Amino acid sequence: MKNIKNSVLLAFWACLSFNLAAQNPVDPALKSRETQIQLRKLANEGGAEAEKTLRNLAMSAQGAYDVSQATEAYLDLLGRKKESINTLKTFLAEKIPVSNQIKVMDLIFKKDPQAPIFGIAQIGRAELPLAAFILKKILLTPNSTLIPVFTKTIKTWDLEHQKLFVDAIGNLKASWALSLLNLTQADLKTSQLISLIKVKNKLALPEVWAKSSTGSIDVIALGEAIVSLSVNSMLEKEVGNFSKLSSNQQAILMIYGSYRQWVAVKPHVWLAVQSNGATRSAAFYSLHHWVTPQDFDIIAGKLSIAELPMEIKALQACLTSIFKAESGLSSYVTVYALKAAQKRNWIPFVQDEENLNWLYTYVKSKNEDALRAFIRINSRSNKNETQQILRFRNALACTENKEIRDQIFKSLGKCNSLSAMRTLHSALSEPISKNTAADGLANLYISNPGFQGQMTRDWVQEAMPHMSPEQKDSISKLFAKGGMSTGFYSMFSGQDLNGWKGLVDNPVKRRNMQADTLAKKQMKADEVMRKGWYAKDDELHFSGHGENLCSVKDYQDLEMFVDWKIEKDGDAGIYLRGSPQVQIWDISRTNVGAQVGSGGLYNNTKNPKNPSVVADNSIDEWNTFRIIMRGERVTVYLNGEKVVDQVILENYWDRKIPIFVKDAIELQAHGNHITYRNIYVKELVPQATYEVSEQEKSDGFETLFDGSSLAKWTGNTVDYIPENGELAIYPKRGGKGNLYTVKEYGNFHFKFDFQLTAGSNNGLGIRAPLDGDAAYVGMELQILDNTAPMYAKLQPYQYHGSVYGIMAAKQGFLKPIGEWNSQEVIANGNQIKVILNGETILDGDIAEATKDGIPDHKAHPGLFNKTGHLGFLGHGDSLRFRNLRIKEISEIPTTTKKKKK
Amino acid sequence: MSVSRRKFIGQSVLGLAAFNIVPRHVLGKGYLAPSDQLTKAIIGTGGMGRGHISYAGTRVVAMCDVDKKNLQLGLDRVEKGVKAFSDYRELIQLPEVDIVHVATPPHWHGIIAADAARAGKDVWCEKPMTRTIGEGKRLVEAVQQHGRIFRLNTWFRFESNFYGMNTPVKPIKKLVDSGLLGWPLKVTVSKHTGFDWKFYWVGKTDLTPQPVPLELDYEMWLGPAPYKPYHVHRTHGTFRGYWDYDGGALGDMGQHYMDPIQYLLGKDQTSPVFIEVDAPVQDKEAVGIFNRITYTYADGCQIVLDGEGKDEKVAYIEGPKGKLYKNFKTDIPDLDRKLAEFPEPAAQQTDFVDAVKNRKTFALNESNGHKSCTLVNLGLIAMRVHRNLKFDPIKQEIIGDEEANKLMDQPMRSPYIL
Repeated sequence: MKNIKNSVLLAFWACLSFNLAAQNPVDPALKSRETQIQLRKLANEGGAEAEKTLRNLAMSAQGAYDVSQATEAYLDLLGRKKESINTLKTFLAEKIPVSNQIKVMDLIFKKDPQAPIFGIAQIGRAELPLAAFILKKILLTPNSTLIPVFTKTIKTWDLEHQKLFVDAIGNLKASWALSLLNLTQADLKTSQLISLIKVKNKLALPEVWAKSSTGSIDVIALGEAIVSLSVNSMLEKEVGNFSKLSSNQQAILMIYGSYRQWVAVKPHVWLAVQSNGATRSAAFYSLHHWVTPQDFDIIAGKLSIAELPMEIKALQACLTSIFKAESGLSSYVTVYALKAAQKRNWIPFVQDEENLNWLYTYVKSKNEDALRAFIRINSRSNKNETQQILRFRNALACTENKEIRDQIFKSLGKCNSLSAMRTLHSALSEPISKNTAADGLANLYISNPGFQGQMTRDWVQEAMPHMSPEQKDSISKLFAKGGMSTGFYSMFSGQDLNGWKGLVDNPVKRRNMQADTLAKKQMKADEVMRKGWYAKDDELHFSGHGENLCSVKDYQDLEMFVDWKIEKDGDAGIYLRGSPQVQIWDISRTNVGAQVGSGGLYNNTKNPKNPSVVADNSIDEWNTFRIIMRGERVTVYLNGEKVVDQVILENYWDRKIPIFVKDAIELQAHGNHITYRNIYVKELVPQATYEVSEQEKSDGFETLFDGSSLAKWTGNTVDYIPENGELAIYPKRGGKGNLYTVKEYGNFHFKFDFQLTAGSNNGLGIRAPLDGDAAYVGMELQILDNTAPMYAKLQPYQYHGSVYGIMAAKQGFLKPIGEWNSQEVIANGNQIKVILNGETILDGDIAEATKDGIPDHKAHPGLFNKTGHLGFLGHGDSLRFRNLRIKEISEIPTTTKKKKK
Repeated sequence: MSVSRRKFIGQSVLGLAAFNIVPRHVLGKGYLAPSDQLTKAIIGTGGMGRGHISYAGTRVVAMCDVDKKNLQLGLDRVEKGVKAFSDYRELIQLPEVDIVHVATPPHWHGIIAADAARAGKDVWCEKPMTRTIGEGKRLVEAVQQHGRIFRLNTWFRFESNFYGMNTPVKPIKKLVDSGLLGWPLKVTVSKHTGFDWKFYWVGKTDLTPQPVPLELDYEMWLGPAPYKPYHVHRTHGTFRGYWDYDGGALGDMGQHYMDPIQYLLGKDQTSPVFIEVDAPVQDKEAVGIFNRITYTYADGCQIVLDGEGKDEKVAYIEGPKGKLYKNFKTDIPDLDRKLAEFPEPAAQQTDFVDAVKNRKTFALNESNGHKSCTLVNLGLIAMRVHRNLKFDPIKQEIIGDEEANKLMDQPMRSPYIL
């Protein structure tokens, strides 16, 4: 019966092999499992045929694992068979993998009473796992007859196998084999002593103590093993004998006594920490048992200079326990870290922003702990978002660790900037950060309407599939609203120089060039460009040789972002409207005055040229410019700091005229390697130019202020700035004095609108020189919020519309604060007429008014000036003007005028 | 077999021995050169497998999953060049793999871990170790007969703060060993001692079958488990709610919580003799909740799993001479000073990389892992048969309860065997 069953199985096997070859449609995975079961059944049945079949299958698998588990089945069969020891030993000698050697050895041990002797003979040449297995099998069962067998062979083993043996005696508590420890090499002394302790526990102590006095020993490992022994009076006595002990013993005692809190050990530990003796490392190892918050300064000082990894770790453990006891001390971490010689020892503890700079030096050398600390701190450092983003991007450049990158992307999702959005957009290609990046991008898009535009919309669109359902929903709703403007777009593709051209002469010359000449020159210039400028890894490089890079497009008003990086002695700049420049330079070049920082309008002569603060990052690090140009004024943010605030950019190419209305953006070439990235620009709608009406034009009026340019004005162009087509005064912008027309006017008809703020005070100067107090060296027509309580006690000739100190105007015709007033001033010889909101509030002759003496009893030497500048005479208050227009008139005899009144 | 790399590992052992004045922890984790790193393959790249990619001293070289989406998610997290498989049996044949990490649902743990051991791999297995006690027995055999190093992946017996105790287990072990609490001890696992039971792992009943997603090889996902029509709730993320694959809250956290207790009580070699259960009658398919499960050892020590949390003032460990509460609070005056007088608990082999390289048994291995998993499985059986159990720790048999004994070793669907 048995045989029949067996042969059926064998037949099945043959059939199965055939079927496999014949491409059976059955799932191969399931098929091989069936095979596995059949082979196991075969092994179960046994018999010579089955053994032969299984042996062949096992041998063709080279004794290794295969999905049918043939070797396993073969060994199964041999395990069941009565007489198989020799077969097993033969199989062991085949080149089978060590794990199956172990299985074979396991069977030999089950079957052969002489297996231990056979096993010992194998150890020396066995691979480590097999040797370990044999030792385990043997050492677990006490057998003194094996001692002589071991004795003969141990010496033939190499150090590795001997160490395995020594450790195994301890781990398996093989007390019967302890005597064999002495046969192993002296190099293994630490292991020998530890095994002794593991086997004999307390009883081993006298022997271990005596033996540990000499020789090279890992005292910390040994000390750690001894602390698991119960309190021992012998060791306690030895503390009194401390100075007479060997350094090994002292070290062990420090470790043991520290665990037991024996106070007598404490001074020894502290002393050894200060020393350079052999016990130093053990003392450091034990120190954390003894430190209290009072020791903070000593520990912090030592940590700041420690160089050995073991000591650093020990001191860090001390600090951790100190902070646990007194958390307030952690506020001193930064103070110590900043002045530490070994700053990196402080990495686990630092929390403050001040540490970011030195952490970054370790980040660059790929120190992952520093990187984590850097990110941890930077995530909380949101005072300057531009710098925060630059730091995150720097960190990204330093790590390929996907989890850390994901963490950075998470934080970037909270940084409101285009640079952050762009970085998140590129993170969409990082598989594990896809979702993080998509959600961050959506979040930034929604919360920053200023960044919503075609480009960012495309980015968000691309991120849509990876967004959380909620984000997807809010984005879809936002998209459905439509009404998208162009917004910011990238001036640089990242891969080529599309959108850029070479530089031909300067804007003035270009304007005077014949079209064909220009075209010819442009071709040459483009060639030069391609030599000097190139795109690489999303960065735009200038090699150091060549000319400026010009945008193909001309720009008028704009907002732009650009990141730049220079090398030592670097020099570059951003030209606006084809003109130099927002300066970039190495601030260490004090010989050329670079210490003032980058971002200034370098070629200004009349207007400020220096940035207000130095905001440059180190050489070879990235910087971010945000540049806004409206009209002729430029604002520059460098690394999040406003360094230029609405300063007029002068026309370098023709100093007589204001800056061009429209021209190219240029990246300056200056003979050294520069890198740019993230160049984004948004074209702003220029302020509509103010022009006088056709009617007034035909009457002879002309505008004094077109809404954006102060070209017709001089003096304080700092506090008086164009804003929304109006002339606004911001008295705290650092300007000085008054704003005057460039031109002088004698008899004129001047019309303007003004808007007061509560209590504001200004004045219209007429026929004034550029120097001196215009109210006296010229004439001032008061501009004042009459209604303010602080002006309640003024003289009549001091209220709005009056010729200051000379003639009083009618009060009560000003519109409420916040509304625009329109005023006309007609200066005709000595006759001055002021019309406010349609009402003539003053019409008088200055000679007439002063014939009985000057009303305010002051000298007015300029009262009868024939001509002079028109001016706004500021008194530190904020107000606005608009629609300034003037017509020069020829003097009309005054007598008729006077009669009229 | 990459002989040269193994040879190198061997040499590095020599190197350590020659410089044995340097403390071993100085050269500890994180200082291994890539060539000296052990190689790892992950089987099951769902949430658990993906969460265990980076460990010091190891490097992932292969991954396997029966769900193509999960497999891709896993591959996304590692460097290019990591090999991908859908049948783990092909993966474990790779000669370059040192360690196989089993991160599948529990109904696959036994078979895969045993096959990996047979293929000569060392094994890192997620908890609970096996779905039945019988699978555990045979897995222990396979590991030991092939001389493999096995690590069960819960770690509180040797590192990290132990939940509500807010301290590692070591000082608790020292306290227990010192005898200051007396003997026998009762340990209570309750939300009031700092251990929450996640009772949201409850299965759904009366599920309407759904079409199997294209990316999932459901046949292979089920493997040895009985065939049931597909429903998404049975699989990824929620499989814990079904007896066929796991055991609800107890399957999830049981071994995390009880393995350290087994260590504390010194019960790594034995099992309880009596299991009392207070739980609602359980559904045939879906795991429900329990109110209270009490394990009693032969010497009177008890482990109480308190699912209700009625007693707010309960001690974590209660002995005749003292009590230990949440956050290592105790009613023993001046405990720190008293404890200093006692020996430290014996050192454990906690460095898995060292264990693999030098063939040392890991702190939490197939043998004590099987014992703590037996605690989990005895609790689950008691819940399912809805009565108290008597257990013979030596024979590993439930005494006088045929139905319960059947649950100790459940049949596998053909053609799966262990």
